[in-house]
Amino acid sequence: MMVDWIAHLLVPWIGSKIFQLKSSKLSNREIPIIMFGAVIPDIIKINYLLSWIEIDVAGFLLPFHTPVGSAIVAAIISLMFARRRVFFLMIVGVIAHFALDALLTHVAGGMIILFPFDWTWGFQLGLIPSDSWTPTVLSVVTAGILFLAAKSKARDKPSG
Amino acid sequence: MLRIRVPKKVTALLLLIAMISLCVYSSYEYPKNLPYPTVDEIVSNYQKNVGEKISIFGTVTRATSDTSVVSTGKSIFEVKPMMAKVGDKAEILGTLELDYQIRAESVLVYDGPSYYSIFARSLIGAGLLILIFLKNWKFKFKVFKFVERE
Repeated sequence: MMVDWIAHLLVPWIGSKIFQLKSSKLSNREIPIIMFGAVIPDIIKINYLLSWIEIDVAGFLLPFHTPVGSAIVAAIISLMFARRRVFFLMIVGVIAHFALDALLTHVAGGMIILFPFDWTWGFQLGLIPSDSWTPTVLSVVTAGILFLAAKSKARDKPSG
Repeated sequence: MLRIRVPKKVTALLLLIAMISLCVYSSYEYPKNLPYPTVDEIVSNYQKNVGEKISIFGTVTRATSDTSVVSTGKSIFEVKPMMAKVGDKAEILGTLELDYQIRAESVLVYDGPSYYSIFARSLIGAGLLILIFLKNWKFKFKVFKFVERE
């Protein structure tokens, strides 16, 4: 079970925009990279598609939804960019993903954060059910406000 | 200070090997390290698992005031006490009893349409990501790299 991708993408976007309003160290082009990083752990969701044709590879795909596995995938993808800091930007997205997933509630299981060193399950705060609209609505509203604030800031900037 | 430059192709190969190794290791260790037995294990060795704590996820196919029948796709369980309606999705933690019955300790019910909306919302998110990403970056096959759009 999962938080939907609207929240998964907008939360790092919101964080990036707030950072951008305070500092000029993050370019607009880098924000989609952070957002891209935020969905890397959900490569594991390929298993949902495969389960429809009765193929279960949950065990094989599990490392994608762990910090170590996601960091390796981020490193592989970042090799396809010229900028070195792409890897770190993707890791910021990955962290945002796990932070959001940690809010979910399950009757059993939860995340396995220390893989492959430890197989302890259950890293979850149990605050929201998977099908909750709360993170989605909150992130859409906040993103909307920030979008307008960023536009207004850009307009107010003296040109030249 | 000595700096060794590893070619990107070598780095990519090493990282791929590391990831595949993790996946293979996980596929072997996963069943042994699950907190509760899988439905396959329960079905293949039912008597051994009676009295054990189990966790299942499935669709409600029949429901009365305090009992629900939940299909996991591989098997069907009668869960009580559990209030739900036909079509709901449910996560159940409970004790396995005889004749595919579960005494529920903790139940999480998702309304059917609400459950599927997670995937619909995610598809919208995926579209949004593709749009924003390709607005800023394009893939150059010649150099096998993402480059900034003009």
